[in-house]
Amino acid sequence: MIQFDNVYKTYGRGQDALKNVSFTIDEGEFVFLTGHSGAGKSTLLRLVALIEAASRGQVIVDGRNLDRIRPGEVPFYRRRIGFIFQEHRLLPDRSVFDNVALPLVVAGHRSTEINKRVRAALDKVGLLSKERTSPRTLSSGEQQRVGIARAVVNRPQILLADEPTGNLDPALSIDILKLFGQFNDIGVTVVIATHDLELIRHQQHRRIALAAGQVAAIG
Amino acid sequence: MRLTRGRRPATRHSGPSAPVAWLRQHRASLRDTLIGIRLNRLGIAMSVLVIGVTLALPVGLHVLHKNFLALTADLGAVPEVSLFLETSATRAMAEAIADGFRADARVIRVEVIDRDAALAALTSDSALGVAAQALVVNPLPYAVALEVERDAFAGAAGEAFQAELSSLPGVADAVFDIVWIRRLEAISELIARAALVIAGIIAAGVVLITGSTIRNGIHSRRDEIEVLKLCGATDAYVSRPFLYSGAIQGLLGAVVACLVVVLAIALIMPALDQVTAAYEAPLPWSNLSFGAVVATLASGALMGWVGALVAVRVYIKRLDSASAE
Repeated sequence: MIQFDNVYKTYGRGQDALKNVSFTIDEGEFVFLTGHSGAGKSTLLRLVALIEAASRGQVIVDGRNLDRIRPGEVPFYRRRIGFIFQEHRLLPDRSVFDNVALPLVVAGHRSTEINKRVRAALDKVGLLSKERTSPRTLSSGEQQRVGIARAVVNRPQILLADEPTGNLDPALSIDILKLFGQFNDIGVTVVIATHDLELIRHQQHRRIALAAGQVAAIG
Repeated sequence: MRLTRGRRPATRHSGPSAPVAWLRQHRASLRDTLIGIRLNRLGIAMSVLVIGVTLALPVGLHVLHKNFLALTADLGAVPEVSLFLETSATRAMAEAIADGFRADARVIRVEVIDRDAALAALTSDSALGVAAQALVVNPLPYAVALEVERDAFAGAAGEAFQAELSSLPGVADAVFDIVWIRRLEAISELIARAALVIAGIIAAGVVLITGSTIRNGIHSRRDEIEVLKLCGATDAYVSRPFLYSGAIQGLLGAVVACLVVVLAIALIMPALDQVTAAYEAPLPWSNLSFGAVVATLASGALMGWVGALVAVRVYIKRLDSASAE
């Protein structure tokens, strides 16, 4: 589903954020991307979401070489990917419902369809009762769950999460991981970037460890 | 969530049909526009006022020009032509020439000036009377006086008409009394041209004003734009609320401009009434016409939209390259 072939990402003054990175993630797989901050985890996820492009090498997602996606096609490509940020990036001037509805509104869905899907997503993350509230009134864990609901509401094929438990205590973090597990159970490919090895110690899923922009270990 | 296990086809339908989705997206954009306007009320109100006051100048000049045209027309400013025939010409010849113009649409009035009548008029003139009395023979020829349409001498057709009058058989000299009309027209042209140039400069100003307000709007909503783009929003979708906002600002600015001009006219009116009283005849004074209001509103909205378009093209692109660094 996601394939990196000798991928480099170089920024301005010759700093390599990623160096010769190669790996394959299968469809429906659940993978942890580990490494210290600055190891290149976020950059790697950003390449998959086409927030930026690789400097060298090939990134292939669902059989498509991302190099060949024209700028005008990028939004439509992104609609098949759910992206979850550490800082959840909710829009404070809109309700929880409106935040979760964004990907559907952007795609121009009917309002009855939006209502149905947003409620289902909020129900899934246990926040249906908060749909009318402002994200500002929610706890960190709840905000993160709203972010997850927003990422899955469009029924993406791939879920990418960048340190989704970074601001949460261990109990809440495990809840969030369970949630990702449930999406994975219904066939969604899940990639979670985290530096918290303690949290994932008991998780059975495959890991790709990055160090200084290179793949240090897979397994 | 009603997700299904297993592989989805690669060509999975990612949304509703294009035209329907497009309409719904526009509705959502309008809502976003209103949110944006609400968030930046003060900034937008300021820019609307600035646009309004700036636009008032060309709109005011337009009203001035229109009234100037009406005024000159009302003063009976029509070109006059005197065709002096050769001294040997008879009255019948003069009448024949005059008759030739009676059916001419360009000619308002035709009059044959009798040579004896002309001499009598000259003799009764206090300055030239004595000299005229000394004349043994009447040296004056028959003449045909014409009043022609105001624009009869305008353009290439006008020049041809002038040449035609000068070279009529039997006509010794054609005198065109059009200098002061030309002056009035030149002044009118000057006002019109000034209004046009000022309108051009001001259009650029309005584009810059809205561009700058929209740029601020984009800057303050950059987080939102980034999130929208990650949620699969196209550049067109992200741009739309700003374009709407620019057009709305321009439109409201144009409304302010019209109000300013109407107010200005109301303030000038008492002084104008005095002028009217002095002339002892009502001067035609027209206010901002419905057509002019519509044109002002439309061009205001267009300028705002263009300003927003420029800002959106430059800054949303810049946002992309910034997020990629």
